[in-house]
Order: sequence, then structure tokens, then C-alpha cells
Amino acid sequence: MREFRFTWKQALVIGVLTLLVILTLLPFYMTILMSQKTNGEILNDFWAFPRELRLDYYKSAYTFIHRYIINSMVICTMVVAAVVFLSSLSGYVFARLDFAGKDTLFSAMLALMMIPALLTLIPAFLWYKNFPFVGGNDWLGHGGRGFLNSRLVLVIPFVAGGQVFGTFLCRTFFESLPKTLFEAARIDGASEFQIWRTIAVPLCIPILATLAIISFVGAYNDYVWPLLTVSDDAIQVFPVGVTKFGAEGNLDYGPVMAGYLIGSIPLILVFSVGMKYYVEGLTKGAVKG
Amino acid sequence: MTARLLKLTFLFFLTATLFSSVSAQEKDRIQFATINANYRVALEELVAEYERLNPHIQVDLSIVTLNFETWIRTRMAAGGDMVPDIYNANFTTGYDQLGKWIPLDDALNSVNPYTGKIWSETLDMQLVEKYRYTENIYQLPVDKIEIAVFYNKDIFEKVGVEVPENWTEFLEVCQKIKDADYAPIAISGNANSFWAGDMGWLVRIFSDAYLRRHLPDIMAQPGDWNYEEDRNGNYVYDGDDLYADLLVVPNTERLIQAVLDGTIDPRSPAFKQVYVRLKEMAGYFQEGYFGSDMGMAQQLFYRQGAAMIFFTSANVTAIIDDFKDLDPEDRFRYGNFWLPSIENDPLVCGPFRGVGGAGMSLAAMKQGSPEHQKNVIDFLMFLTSPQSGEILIKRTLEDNQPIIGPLAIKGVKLPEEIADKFDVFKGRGYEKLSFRGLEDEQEGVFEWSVLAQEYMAGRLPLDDFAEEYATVLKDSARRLIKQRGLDMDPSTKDPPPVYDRAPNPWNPFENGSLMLILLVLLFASFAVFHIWHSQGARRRTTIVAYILLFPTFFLLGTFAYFPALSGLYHAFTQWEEGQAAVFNGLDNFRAMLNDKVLFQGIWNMLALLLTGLFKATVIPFIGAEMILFLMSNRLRYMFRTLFMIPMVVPGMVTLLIWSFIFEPNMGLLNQVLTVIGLEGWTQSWLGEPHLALPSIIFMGFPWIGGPGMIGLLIFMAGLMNIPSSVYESFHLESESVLRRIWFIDLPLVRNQFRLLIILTFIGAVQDFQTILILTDGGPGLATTVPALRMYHQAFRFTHYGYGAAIGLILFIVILSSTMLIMRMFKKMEVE
Repeated sequence: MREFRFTWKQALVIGVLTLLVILTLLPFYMTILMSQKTNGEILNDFWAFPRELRLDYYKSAYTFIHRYIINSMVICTMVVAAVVFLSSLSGYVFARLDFAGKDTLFSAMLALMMIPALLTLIPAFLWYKNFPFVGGNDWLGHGGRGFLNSRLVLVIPFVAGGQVFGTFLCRTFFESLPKTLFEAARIDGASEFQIWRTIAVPLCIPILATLAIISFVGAYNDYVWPLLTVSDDAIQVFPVGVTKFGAEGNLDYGPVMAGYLIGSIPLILVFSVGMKYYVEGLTKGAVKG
Repeated sequence: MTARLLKLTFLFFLTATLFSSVSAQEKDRIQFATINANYRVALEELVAEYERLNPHIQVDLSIVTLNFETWIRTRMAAGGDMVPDIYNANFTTGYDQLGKWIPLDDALNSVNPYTGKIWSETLDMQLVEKYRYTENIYQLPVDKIEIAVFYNKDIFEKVGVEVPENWTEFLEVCQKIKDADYAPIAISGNANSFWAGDMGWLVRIFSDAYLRRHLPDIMAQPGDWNYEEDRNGNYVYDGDDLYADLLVVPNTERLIQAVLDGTIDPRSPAFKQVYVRLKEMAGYFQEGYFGSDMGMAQQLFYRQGAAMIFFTSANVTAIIDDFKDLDPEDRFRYGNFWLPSIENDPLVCGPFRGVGGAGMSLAAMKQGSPEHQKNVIDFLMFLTSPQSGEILIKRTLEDNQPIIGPLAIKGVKLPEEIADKFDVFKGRGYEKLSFRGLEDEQEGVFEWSVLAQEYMAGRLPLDDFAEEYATVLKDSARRLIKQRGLDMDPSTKDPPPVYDRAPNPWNPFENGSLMLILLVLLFASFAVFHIWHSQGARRRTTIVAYILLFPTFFLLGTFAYFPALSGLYHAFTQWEEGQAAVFNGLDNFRAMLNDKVLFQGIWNMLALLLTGLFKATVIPFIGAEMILFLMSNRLRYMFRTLFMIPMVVPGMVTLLIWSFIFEPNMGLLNQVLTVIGLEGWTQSWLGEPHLALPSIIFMGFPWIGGPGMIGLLIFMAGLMNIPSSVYESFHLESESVLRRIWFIDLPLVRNQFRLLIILTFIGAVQDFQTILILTDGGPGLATTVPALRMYHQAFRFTHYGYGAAIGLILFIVILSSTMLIMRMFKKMEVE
């Protein structure tokens, strides 16, 4: 319909967009540049290229930051696995099983989307701390640390919260599939769990990919919750770890910037595989909403 | 020579007595655990040397750099062999450990076999005494950390000034340096600095200098529970004697009483003078010091933009190390001096004293046989002998590690390069009575820091500041009385109050087990009800469905519904750390009406909200229209991808990068302004009260890429979904792009607008992470928001109930606004 044809208007828009792209990317470009410069170079020749490559900055940043990144990846992987499993299962149940009480249950679930994380921050923190029979707590939830300072405290809230959106997404998807697909298997005598595992899951891989990426990015970026609940450095995650990097007397900006960039690697990997799914998930959700 | 002889005799004695009982295999094992990794090489050498001298003893050195406190605490809990004999005492301070440590008093008064002198004679006993508990000395400081003024000798020479001897000269020097276009003093002045940095230190030093004459008013008197004749009985106030009050024990109840009855009053001339002096000095801080953290201040000093800076003794070796990385032409000569004291002021009590203390401070566990404990003490004596001290410093420097400060061991010869820089840290006394809030009561310290920032920023006159500070101190005093259960009778020792009534096992909010049972029962009865009422095949399906849904709903019930419900319930309670919640009706909401911080926060939130809506809707919409205006699909795809790049950067990193962009000295924003010739516009963006909020709003400019990307993607998808037939019919009537956008595009992406408005609204009300990282609400209250207030109340002051009440109000705001927005859009549709 629209064919390419050079006009001044087109050139102007390209110009404006290019300027905006430059402004958007400038901070990140400068971060890459600074990750190779000494403080003196940053101060005196802010815009210049580094005089030499200093890959040891990345090495020292890696030494400090890598275990936080690994911890984050462990948490995110657990979150993604649990969210994908639970969402696809309950999405399937809500979409394909006709059972009594379904609508009430589903609305009860959706109502949770209206509750902001802020309201639950304080009570959730104390609930994880006073959870009975966990982390040395007695049956009344006293005497121990509960879930605090464990990996579980970082995983559970993202699973509990993430599956609401996930179930919603999967239900919509399953409902768009032809019913006959499942009926055939049911007639063959497969159990509902088997149908879910052998037919439903393989079909909804694209939507699960979307869900996986959204959950991964969400869990990877969270800062306040791990800051509050984890004090043990050995299991601390990247967003908290990276704030310590600059703060703990590390006055060389180069390695700090290098650490920032290294911390982006997991997200770069995830997005390079699944950018398409991420965009789809966002835009699809928007049209429905 | 005598020392060696003595040592030999001692060794002979030891060998003779011990060799018979201890076989070669069964050496006495001393476990020595420390966090001070900088001394690693030196300590390893010292341990080897000690083992060579004492073949029957084996010292196991563990250097634990991460989570030392957890490491120690878990070992303490495990007990037995796991507990180290010697470790860094300050990690488990608190009186709980006192009974477990060996009192060192007797040993300190006996001969150290490694020197031949009384042990205490070779130690900095003033520092040791500083860590004395009521009766005994348990801690042995090995080194000392203290602050002083470091100055750039080159700048001083260029300007033609000398090291000032007193305050007047100091101010003159500062003025001359300022006239020569240098920043006289580089300092960190952000919110954190008022809590635990330069500004906090200065206030402590100044208030000790002006207020220590009040010590007799607040120290323990005869008859008080913590009165000690040999410590307080001999004390006579003398402002000029730096150590006169070193041993004096204050009494908290007397201190609180003095604040309450106005004996110590911020409105008094001496108290006010502290802040007059502070402001006098602040005239010579670098511009925009409010936004600077320690790193920024240090950079300014290093690149010779400032002539002076407050450094700790740890910086002495750190500078040497840092200068190795600098180009030789960028290095400069430097020295240090003690902050010159104020003279000729009738209000001042005496010279400035230090705020320092021990760096590495060791304690010995009371465990094992008496013989073993003797060996432990013997090792400590060896470790703190001057010869060992020399090895400690020498090897550490050779290993390129920092030294925290001068050793607390007398007679240690230091290498020349650091000897003269360490001189200044010796013997300047320790501040005794200082007010930065009261007794570190967190809420009071916070309120003080807000007031002090407002005053320093010139937004609060001195008298108003003093007036409000008086209220803050008194409120803080009342809270302390309650928190510590004080009866305000100094003669009785008041045990900390046991607020915590036993949890009520019938209240599901206090009994987690009951709550879990209730949640499961709720789900089960819902399931049973529906299974009961369904028939035939449907019943079978229903059973299967509820089984399959159980894990999901168990998680939701336990970790989503219950916390929300609990938040609702606890908003109506007084709920403090370690205490069971007490129902208090609408008290929390009434308190909110008087919460000035909260109200200031609402205005800031509104500003963030309105600009946020613009950033999240208008800008991405224009961006989407521009990209779709392009004829080439490849260009469209390219631009969309380019704008998406920032999304791969973790949110926290983006925040940290932006905090660097706003950095006043070398930040990107000021650099850009300089390049385009607007040098005059450069600012301390997050440091000026009137600029901090606009700067936070500016964050993410030009607001298209990165997190704002969601809007762009949603609009692009929405606009591309508009059927081309709509355009074609329009095309006949008019060519104007703007008309097309206004009449076709805008109405057709109405739903996208609605979604983005709701998302932004929810996000803006809830988000405090950005502000927590960038400014922590400061300077003053310039960037505080209600959500941050909630966070501070709950997790800094542990008022969980009040925090939950703020959370509830914000939830109501979000819910009702969302519904309102929905309704508005519905109305538009009808029209």
C-alpha cells in the first residue's frame, strides 16, 4: 500500500527519530566507554575513547559481581519454571474443564490483579518471617527466621503473583484452540493431567515463552524485596549486589561500569532469544485489556 | 636485650612445664578469626613466627571477609570446637557477649613476655579504655580509625596560605582559596551523609565542642544504678582536658530528663552556635554539596578542584594506592591537619575532639582449660607487641593493602611515607556528648536530618530550626522512654520492656498454623460444596479440576490473599518490631493527618504522577506515529529495535547510570551542557532542593526507549491494527497528517491510552525504588513520596502498623482512581 518515496517530510522524521535514538542510547554508550577508562580519563577527557583497552576492569568486576548474577539466575529459573508449570495447568483447567464454581474462582483470582504490591509489602515481609514450622519457627511462627534469608523467600512471591497473569494469559490462549483437539484424547481415555501434558503444553509453547520472559525479567529486576528479606551475601541477588559495588569504597568508575554491563548479560541473552515473544505478550495483553 | 632474655626464660619455663603433659601431636589449638583481610599476609607471618616461638601451640587463622557477623553467630550457636578463641569483638557487641569473654584487666597489668614491660604500657590505653564496659576491659583495639582534614599542598602554595592554627585562620584560608576559584572543602552532603557520613561527623564534633559542659548533668550520680566511684567520682568538668571525661559513664535517664526539662535545649545559645558554625563552614563547601556522596567529594579533591576534604585515617594508604593509577602530572603533594578549634567564643567548651574508634578490635572467648586461656592471652600479647606491630604495618604495605589507621600499639616505627600522615590521628580525645537526634533513636535522627538539611539549604531560619529541633528531641525522648521501658528513676536499672504478650493462638493473624488450616479449609469447603451440587460426569470433572487447582490456590491463598488481608487488618493496629499487634482503631489514620512528611510527599507524588502520565502516553504516541509515518518497513523495524535496546539493561543499573548522569562533577548531563556551551547551567542536579524533583522527572529522557518502551509498542500495535480501509476513505477528504491523527488515530487507540494511564497511575503511586536509590527523599523532604514514607516507617522505624495504614490509603487511592478512569473512558465512548 505505502511505497517508498523520498520526501522532505520523511527525511525530517528520520532526522528527529535519529536524534531521539542518540539521546536514548547516549547514557549506555557512555557507560560502555567509561568501563574502559581510568578516573583520570573520565575526568579530563569525558568524551574521548579510552587510551588503552583495560579488560582487567571486566575481570575485577566479574570477580565481585558474578555470584550475585548466578544467584539471580538461579532464582529467576526457579520462578520461571514454577510460573510456567502452574499457569499452564490452571489455565488449561479454567479453559477446558467445565466444572462448578469456575466463574467465582476465576474472578477471585483476577481480583488479585487489583491489589498493589505496596499494600502487601509489610504484611508479606512479616508473614514470611513468622511462617510456622519454617526456618526454626514454632507452630505460632516464633523463634526463628522463617523464610527470611533463604532462596525460597525470593522465589515464592514471584510465583504466587506471577501465576495470576499467567493463568489469565494461558486461559485465553487455550480457549482459542479448537475443542476437538482435546475431545479426541479424552475419548481415548487419557486423564486430564495427561491431556494437559501431551497436548496442551506442546501447543502453547509460544505463549509460555512469553510468560517465561516476562517472569524472568520481572524477577531479575526486583530490588526492594531482596533488599528487605535477604541479608546473607552468599544468596543475595544482582540488583542489591550491584548497589554495593559502587558503595563499598570502589572509587574506580571503570570497573563499576563494567559490572553494570556484565549484569546486563542475562537479560541480553533472554531478550535475544525471546524479544519477539516479549513484544507479543505486551501488545496482546494490551488489546484485551 | 633484656626482653629477649626474659622471653627465653619464659620459653624455657613453658617448655619445662608443658612438654611433659603435651605431646607433639596434641598441640594446643588457638582459633583466630578476623574480618581484616588487609592484614592477611602480615597475620600469616605473625602466626608462623608465634608457632615457631611456641612449638606446643598451633594458631588457626581464619580470615572471613563476607558476612563475618553471620559466620560468628552461627559458630556461637553451634558451640564446641566451632567457636573461635579470638575474633573481631565489635561484630557481636552488646552486653550479651560480656559473660563469654575473658576480662583482660589482670593481663594488662602483668608483664608482656614479648616486651618485658607491663602490657598496658605499650598500648594506647585511652583507646582501650574507650571500649571498657562497666567493670572490665574485654576488647583489645589493635588499630584506630579517625578523621582529619586532608589538604592539597600545591593549591595551598599557589594560593599562598598556610595550615591554619585556629578557626578564624581556617575561615580566612577557606576564603582565600574560594577567591582563587577553588572549592575550599569537598564534602559529602547527601541524605546518607547526614546519617552516617561527613555531615553527621561534623555535627558530632561541633556539638561535643559546644555541649560537653552538660556532661555533669547527665552522668551517673552516687546512688544511680550504673554509678562507679572510680569513674564518675573523680570527674570534674574541664573543657580543655581532652581526656578528663574518657571514663565517665552517662546515665540515659538523666540524659532524657535533661532533654525533657530543657537543661539541654536546641534553643539555647550554645546549642544554636553549633549550627551557626556549621553554616559558617558550609559557605566553603563545594557548590551543590547536598547531592554529593563520598565518592564524588573524593573525585573533586583528587582532580584538584577542591583544596581540602575530610578523610579517615584509612585514606592515608588509600591515597598512595590511588595515586599510582594517576598520571604523574595529575598527582599533587598533600598533608593533613586536625580541624582547627574554635577560640575566642565564650560559648565553646574547648578544642574539637575526634569521632573515631577502634578499627580491628579483638576479644578472647572464655573457653577451654585455664591453660588454654593463658595461651590465648599470650598470643594476644605477642600480637600487640611493638615488633609485631611493625611487621603488621610493613607486610601489609608490601602487600599493597590499606591500613585503617595508626596502631593502638605504642612504639611502632612506621615507614616514612605514612609516618607524618598518621601523626595527626594521635591523641585528640573522643567526643563524649553529641546530639544528632537523641541516642541514635532512628526516627529522631531522621527528623533531625531533614530539619538540618532544610536549615543548611537556607529554607529554614535558625530560630525556626531550633524550635522544631527542640520538639523533635523531646518526641524522641518520649519514644525512648517507651521503647526502653524507663521509669525515669536513675537509681534503678530498667530491664527492656517485655511488650510481647504471648501470641493469641485463636487469632489467625497471630497464629500462622491456624491461618494455614483456615485457608485450606476454605478452599476445601468451597470445593466440596460445588462437588456436592454437581452431577454425573460433571461431578467427576469438578473433582479433577479442584485437585489440579489446589497448588495454585494454596499459593495464592497463603502468599497473596493472606498478606493483603493482613495488611487490611494491621492498618488498624499498633504493630511494632517484636511485638504483637494491638488494635488501635483509627489512631494510625489520625496520626497521618499530622504527618508533615506524608503531606509533602503527596505534592511530590502528584508532580511525578502528572508528568508520568505525559511521559507514558503523549511521548510514546508521538513516537509511534513518527515511526509509522516512515514508508520503509526496514526503517520502522530498525528504529523500534534501537529504542528497545535500553530494555536489556537491568532496571537497577539504569537507575545507577542515571544517578551518575546527574553527578555534579563528572556526570553526563553537566558534560553535555559544557559541550554545548551552557557551562553556566551545570548544577548539582539531585543536590539542590528545587532541582531534585525536576531531575527525577527528567530521568529517562527522551522517555521513548527502555522502560517507557511499553507505550511505544502498545501504540504501534494499536495503530497498525487500524484497518487500511479506514484510512482510504479518509484519504479522499484530506491530506493533512495531523487531521488524520486527531480524527482517526486518537479515537481508535483510546483503549491503549486507557491501559497506559491506569498502568502509569498504579506505577507512580507505588514506586519508591527510584527515589530510594537516587535521593532517599532528600534533600530535606524535596523528593519524598508517600510510598517512601511507608517504607521508612515500616522498615527503618519498624512502625509496621502505621506503615500498613499508609499502604491501605494508597491502595484505596489506586483502586478508586482506576475505577474513575475507567468510568471517564466509558463516558467518552458514549459521547
